[in-house]
Amino acid sequence: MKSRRRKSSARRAGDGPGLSQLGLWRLGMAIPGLISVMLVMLGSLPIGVPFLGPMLPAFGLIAVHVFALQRPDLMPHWLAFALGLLTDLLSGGPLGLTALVFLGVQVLSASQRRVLIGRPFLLGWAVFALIALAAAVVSWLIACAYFLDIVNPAAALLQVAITVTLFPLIAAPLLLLSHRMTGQAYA
Amino acid sequence: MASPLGLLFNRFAFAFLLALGLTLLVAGRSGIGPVEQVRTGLLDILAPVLNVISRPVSAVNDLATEIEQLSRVYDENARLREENARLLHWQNAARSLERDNAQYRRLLNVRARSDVTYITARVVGESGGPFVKTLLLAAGQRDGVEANQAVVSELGLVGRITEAGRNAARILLITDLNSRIPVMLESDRRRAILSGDNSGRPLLAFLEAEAVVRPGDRVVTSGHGGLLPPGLVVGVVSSVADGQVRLRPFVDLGRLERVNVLRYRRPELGSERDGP
Repeated sequence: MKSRRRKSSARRAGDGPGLSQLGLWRLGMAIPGLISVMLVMLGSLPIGVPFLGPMLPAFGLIAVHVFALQRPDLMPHWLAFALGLLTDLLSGGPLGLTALVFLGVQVLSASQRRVLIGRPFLLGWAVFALIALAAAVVSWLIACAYFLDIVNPAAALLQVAITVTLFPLIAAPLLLLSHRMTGQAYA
Repeated sequence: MASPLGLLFNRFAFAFLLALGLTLLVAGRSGIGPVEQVRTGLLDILAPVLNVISRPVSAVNDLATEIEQLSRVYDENARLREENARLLHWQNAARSLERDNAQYRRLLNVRARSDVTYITARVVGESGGPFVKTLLLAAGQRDGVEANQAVVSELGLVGRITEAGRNAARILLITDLNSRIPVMLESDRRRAILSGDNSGRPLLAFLEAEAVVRPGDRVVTSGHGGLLPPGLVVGVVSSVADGQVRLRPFVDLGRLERVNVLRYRRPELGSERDGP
C-alpha cells in the first residue's frame, strides 16, 4: 500500500509543470546513499577517540543495516557493495573484504524486516548486535585467509563492542530520516 | 519490485557482486591486474575531499587539546623548567660531542652521510578498521612523496609510504600486520626486525639469541636494506616475556596530525668515488 502511494505521488509529480518536483523526489531517494557515503568517510577521519585510540565505530555498517531494514529499495545490493569498496579504499585494507561483508549485511538485515518492523527498539538493537558480530567474524575469517595468518581478532571484537554501544546514537537520526521518508513509523 | 523479473535481476546482481568481490580479493592478493593502480587513482580523487572535511575535525581536536593543557599549565610549567635545565646540560654535551665528531670525521676522511630532506604533510584519514593500520596523507608525487619513504614525527618513526598517488599517499604504520622494519638496539647495535601485529606494541623478531634486552632499551632503525635511513628512533622495549620482545613506539600513532616524509637517497654502491 505504501509503495502504491509513493508511485502515485511520483506520477503526480511527473505531470506537466511538476518536473522540478520529480527532480526533488529523485534527489530525496538518493539521500540514504549520500548519508551512507558521508558516514563511511566520517569513519576514516583521524579522530582520536579518548581511551580507544584510532578505533572508530563502523559507521558504514550501521548505515547499511538501518537502510536495508527500513528502505531496502534505497539500499540495493550494489549500493551496499559500493559502500564497502569505499571503506576498503579508505582503510587500505584488502579490496573487496568490506564490500563482501556489507553485501552480506544488506541481505541479512533486509531479511529481518518481517521480524523487526513494528517491534521495540531494544529488539532491533539486539539483532543488530548479532549481525555486527557475524560481520566481524566473517571479515576476520576473510582477513586470515587473505593475509595467510591468524590475525589478532581483538581489534575486530573491540570495534563490534564500540559499534554496538554507539548504535542508538547513530541509528536514531537515520531511523528518523527513513520514517520521514516513508511517513510511517517502523521499528 | 516483487515481479519475477525483478527478483531474477536481484538474484543475478547479488551473484555478480559476490563474484566481483571475490575476484577483487584474489586479484589484490596476487597482484594480478591493475588493482593497485586503480586503487591509487581513486585515492587521489578521495584525498582532496577528506582533506576538506578533516579540517573541522582537526580544529576541534586542537581546541580539545588546548583546553586539556590549560588545566595543567602550572604543573607543566614547573616540569618544563626542570626539563629545560636538564636539556641545557645535554646541549652542552651534544655540542662538544659534535665538535669531536666533526674532527674525527675529518681525520678519518669519512664520507658525509647522504642528505635527508623532508616534506611535511597533513594526515587526512586513517583506517578506522580492525585489520589494517594505515594513514592517509594529503601529499603525493606532486610534492615529492614516493613509495617506501620513511615517515617520522618529531618523536620518532611512524611508518613508511606504501602507495603514492599524485596528491595523496598512504602510510603503513609500524604497528600494521604487514610492517617489517630493520632495527637495532641503540646500546649494543644488535639487529632485529620490528614486526607489527596490529597491536599497539610491535614485536622485535629475529633478535640475536645472545642479545640481552631489558625493558627500557631504546631501539633505532638500522638502515639495512637501504630503504630507511639508519638511526631514526623508533621506541623503547616495553616487555620481555616468553621469548617475545615487544616495543612501545615513541610516537602516539593514534593522534597524528602532521608528519614528515623523509626524502632519503640511499648510499649507492660505488659512490665512494665521488666522496670527499
